[in-house]
Amino acid sequence: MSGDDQLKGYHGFARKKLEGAGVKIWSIVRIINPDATYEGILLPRSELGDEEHVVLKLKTGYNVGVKITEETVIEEVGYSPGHYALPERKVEFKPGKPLVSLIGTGGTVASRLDYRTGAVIPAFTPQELFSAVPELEEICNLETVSLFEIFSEDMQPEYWVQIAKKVAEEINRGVDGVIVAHGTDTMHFTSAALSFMLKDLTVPVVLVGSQRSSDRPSSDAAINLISSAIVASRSDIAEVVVCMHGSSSDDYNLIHRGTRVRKMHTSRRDAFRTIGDIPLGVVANGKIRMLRNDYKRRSDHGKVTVDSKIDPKVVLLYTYPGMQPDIIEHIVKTGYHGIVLAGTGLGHCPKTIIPQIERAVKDGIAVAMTSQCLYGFVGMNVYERGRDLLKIGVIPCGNMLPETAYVKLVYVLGHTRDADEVREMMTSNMCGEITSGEPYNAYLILQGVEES
Amino acid sequence: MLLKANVVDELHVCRKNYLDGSVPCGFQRTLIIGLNGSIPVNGKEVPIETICIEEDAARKIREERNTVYYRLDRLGIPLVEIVTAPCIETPEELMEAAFRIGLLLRSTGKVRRGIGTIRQDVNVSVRDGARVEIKGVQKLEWLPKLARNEVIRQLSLIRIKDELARRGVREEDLKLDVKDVTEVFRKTRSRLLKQRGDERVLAVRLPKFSGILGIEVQPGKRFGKEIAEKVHAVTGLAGIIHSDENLEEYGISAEEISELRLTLGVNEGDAFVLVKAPRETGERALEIVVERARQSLRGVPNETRRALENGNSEFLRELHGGARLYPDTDTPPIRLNPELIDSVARKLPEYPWNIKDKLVKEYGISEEFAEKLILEGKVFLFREIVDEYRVDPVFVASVLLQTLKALEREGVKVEEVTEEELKEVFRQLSENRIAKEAIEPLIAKLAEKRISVEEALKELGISPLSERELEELVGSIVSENIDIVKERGERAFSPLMGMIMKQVRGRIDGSKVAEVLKRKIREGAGG
Repeated sequence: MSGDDQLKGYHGFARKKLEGAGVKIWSIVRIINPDATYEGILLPRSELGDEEHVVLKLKTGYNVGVKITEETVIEEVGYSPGHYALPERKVEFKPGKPLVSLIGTGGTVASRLDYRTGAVIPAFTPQELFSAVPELEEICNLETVSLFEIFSEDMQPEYWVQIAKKVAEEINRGVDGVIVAHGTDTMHFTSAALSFMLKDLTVPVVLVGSQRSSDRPSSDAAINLISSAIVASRSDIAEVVVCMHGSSSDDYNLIHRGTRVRKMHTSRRDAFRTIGDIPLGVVANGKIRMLRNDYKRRSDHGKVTVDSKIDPKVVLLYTYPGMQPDIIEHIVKTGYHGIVLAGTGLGHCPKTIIPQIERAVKDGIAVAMTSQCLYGFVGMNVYERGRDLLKIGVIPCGNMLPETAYVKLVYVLGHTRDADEVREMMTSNMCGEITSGEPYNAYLILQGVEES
Repeated sequence: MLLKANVVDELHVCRKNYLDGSVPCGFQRTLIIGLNGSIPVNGKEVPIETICIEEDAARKIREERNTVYYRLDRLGIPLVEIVTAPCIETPEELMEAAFRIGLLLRSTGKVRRGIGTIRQDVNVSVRDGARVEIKGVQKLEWLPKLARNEVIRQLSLIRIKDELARRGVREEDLKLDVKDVTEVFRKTRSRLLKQRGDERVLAVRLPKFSGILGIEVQPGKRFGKEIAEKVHAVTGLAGIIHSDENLEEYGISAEEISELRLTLGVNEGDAFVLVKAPRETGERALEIVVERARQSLRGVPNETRRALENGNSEFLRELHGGARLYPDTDTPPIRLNPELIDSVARKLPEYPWNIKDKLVKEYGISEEFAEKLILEGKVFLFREIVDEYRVDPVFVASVLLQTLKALEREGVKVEEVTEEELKEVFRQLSENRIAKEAIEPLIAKLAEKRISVEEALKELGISPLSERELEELVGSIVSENIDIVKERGERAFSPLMGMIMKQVRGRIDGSKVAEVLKRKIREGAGG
């Protein structure tokens, strides 16, 4: 249904009845049922709603669903249109302020409530964003590009390529930083993909999202957006980073390297953590404080290129007790080119699947081992099982995160299917995905007994 | 359905933003479930506009500087909000309506009982006044006084408005011209104005306001105090000092006052307000003072106020203009199944005010008792005790209706005793662990201290007397007084009974004592 539908969300019987009464959304209607009469503003209905009720906003502000039957009489008594638009705000280019490009991939970046109608108004254009998050105006000049309208769980490797190309295009036309607004579920896959694909970055590329939608007072959207605008416009980083809440309060945001970050909580606002390392930096009170030195610096010359060769025929597979060999057989038969295992412990799997893995490697399928422990390195020379796996040709991925390893194998197989070259590329660090060690303060899973 | 309301066909959960911190997620969920009901009050049907279910917020318990402490024990507890139409005319009718609603709710057995579980928000308005909402009324008895004091407040504020109009005060006269007068009080002897750390003394002039801040707006509360409460609610500042107070009592010297008046340019007929605070807080406080003074030109501001125990109220927040409601995106609409509604309709309890005859017949209590139990809202407790512990209904009714009242007359705070405690007392009785005689002192003890029934029994020295102990005690009394027994025979019963009861009252049933005593006397007289 189009956005112009005057009875948005209504279908079937209720729609016919409303049409018959000549009313539309935002009409003030009186609905007379044999047992009760209701008066209120007719609201849009969720597409998933049934066809026997209509939704009214009563004078008290409450919403109710009123049953519509053959006997129901509907009268229009007025019209009170909803304001599905934010107040216009004139956007002027402010010389001297950095220019930042915001690339939208889906969902609402920010939104604002219309209390009168109870509607949530999404904001995306610079005018709308400045209106919803006025602080942005102080930070930078903003331009927006809407690339897709999808949920992050529906991302595809091909979409990573499109985002990378758009980012490069924006940078090469001269913007001072890029923000990619992204759903949080798979943000760390995309951040890893962009890290591998974007070559010779000259400015920051910041992925941002919100753990709590912006229709909630507990939303982190506005502060995440402000912080990422600060990073994109002012930081001297020239890497792909994720900028999200660092604590459950609103006090600071963290800047995570795109290949080491992971969503570690379903709903907390500080869900994104750098794993096995400390983050690149902190954004608090409008200022950036870098925590490390080993990052690529911004430069004002050079052209960004995209190495977009990928092979999406890769699976990411947990190993677990009771795992059956037929799964591996099926993957081989289906024609996959790579398997990333998230093994147990130091990089192990049950012996039941070893013959099938050996078969797969012999068939030219790249099999890489990471650890489902997430923290720490695989150590495949410690136990017999690890040594067996190495012997049959499994590639040990150091402390690369399973999701990052999956993205990297998609990228690597796009360049070569040669086993030695794949091994060489998978085991050497390209953009921070494998580190030389994990510092003591990079493992932080609190148990409630630590000294604070 | 008992309130004869229309049940909403499809429930839509809405959110109401609470940004003060009392709901951690920032919004309260609320939904309307019934509309257009009514309840009979003194022969008139009071309309019920809406019935909602919402979640309770956390209660603020204290504030320290910039930190607010909340108690979370009520957070998320579902509560039912019942809104009556604005057609209640007297404070007494208000109390009766609230009582009836509470009674009806309790009669369903589906709501929690006890203090704080039924709270009333009262909206009061007088002609030329404004709608003022008073929240957090925990006791029904407060209602008439609260309503009356709010009427007094609104009438006083209207008088203040008229007086200011007579003096020709205009809104633009009241400027927010804050002066830093710290220097005047650099060496003050006034404890209230002595500055610590980064505190400053700030002042503002209120032209032509002389005497206004001293006008009483509620019993024992002057307008100045009402403003101070608002300042406290917004900034957390303990108080303000104003020119209608006895400043010398605060240790402010006459020289300081005249220097202050000079610095501020205070003329005859003007008032001033002082605060001591860090600059930013102080400026905010005086901004509120001036804002409130401006409002007083217009009469009664729309406010939400908090009920105080003395029948007055204090500023809580501005009354929200309209309902700030928007849909809760986490909950899909809930369709009410007609079968569910039918099954509830079949199981509805009777109206509590209609069950008198039934009580009389079922429990064998007098009509008078039955009526009182209903009107005092004690039917449910009564039934629970009698049905659960099989205690004599007449006795239970007499304790609930008469003993409690008698204790109250003696000054015992019986309202401190919870229903759970009363039930426990009757349980002890039903298990013969205590005697009927122990009930009165036990309730008095429970009212006095927050202790368990067991502990109260211990403190009263009431431990149940075993039959063996009784035998021994009676035996020793009889032998100590063997002369009387030999001389009077059975007529020795009443003096000896008196002596024994003095020692065992409340610990065992008197009839048991009599039985043992009679036997022992027979044995003693015969032997």
